[in-house]
Amino acid sequence: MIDRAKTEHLIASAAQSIYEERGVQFPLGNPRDIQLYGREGALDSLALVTLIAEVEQCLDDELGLPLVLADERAMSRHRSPFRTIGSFVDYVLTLADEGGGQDS
Amino acid sequence: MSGERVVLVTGASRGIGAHLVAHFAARGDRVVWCSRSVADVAPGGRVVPVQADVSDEAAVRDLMRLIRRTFGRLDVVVNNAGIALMNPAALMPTQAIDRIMDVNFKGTVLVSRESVKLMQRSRFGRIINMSSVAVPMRIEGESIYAASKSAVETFTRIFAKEVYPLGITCNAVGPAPVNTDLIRGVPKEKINALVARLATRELASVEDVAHVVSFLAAPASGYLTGQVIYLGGVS
Repeated sequence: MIDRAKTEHLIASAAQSIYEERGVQFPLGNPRDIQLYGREGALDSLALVTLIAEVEQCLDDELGLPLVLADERAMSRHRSPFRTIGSFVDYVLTLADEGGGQDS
Repeated sequence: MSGERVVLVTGASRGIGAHLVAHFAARGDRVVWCSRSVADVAPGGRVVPVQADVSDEAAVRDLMRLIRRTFGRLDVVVNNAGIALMNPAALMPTQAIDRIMDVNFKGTVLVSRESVKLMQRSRFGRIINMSSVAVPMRIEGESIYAASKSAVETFTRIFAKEVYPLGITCNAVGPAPVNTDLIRGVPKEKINALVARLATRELASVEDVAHVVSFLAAPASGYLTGQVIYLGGVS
């Protein structure tokens, strides 16, 4: 069972690095509610590529979880699972529970 | 980035790929040798052999994981894996069409896509895709092969725009016919007729191809992206 708090920390750290790299103040408050991608998010599609790549690599290296995050389901959803840190965490936990998106 | 680089060469078991592996290793780079066939190079030294089919997504991800864990980065990718089959399109078996598109086009896309995830960390990368003069020369019997390479060229031009902000360039090289296994099955008179249409009037050598690849892979080539360079005076 994948740890929710660890996953949230991992995604929040990756997002914070990208925000800082782009000179954008990382929002304060509950990490779950922080907007990442979409109308109210600070990340454009290029930053999302970086975030997903970083999170995929950290999940694999730190939690031993080789997931494919930008899978068919994620990219075809009406509401992106990457819009907030909370929805991103939920998506990772769902994939991990299902063993879905796992590639080997 | 002027020192030792980490270079991935697909389709490395023979021909242009094998020469590129030797070329980069001799230059002092660490080279990941990748081929569907069993490695005929011993691990150790500057070359790390990995057996993988570039059209298999899981295999490509495993390849990238190995590179990440071994080197922690990837600087140059040469998408050289490719298959060619000369046949009039009217006689081309569907399975052969699928296989040509899978290896030549999908394989290039998968390796490029997954490479970017590693390259973006260092904000540096050089992706070099192999096209062919079969695209501009519109050679009869190569419609499917040339179409797969046309797809590679269009992908190269657009992908180059998408990844440039990450410090990554993407270009393609279209070699004139080289005396490798890829053209072994082509009748000599067809090759001669083809060579007669080149400005250079002779087959290219693997060294000619390595020279252009090396140029595109150089750190100083950072302002050059989205280009397709043909050899042999073809345009």
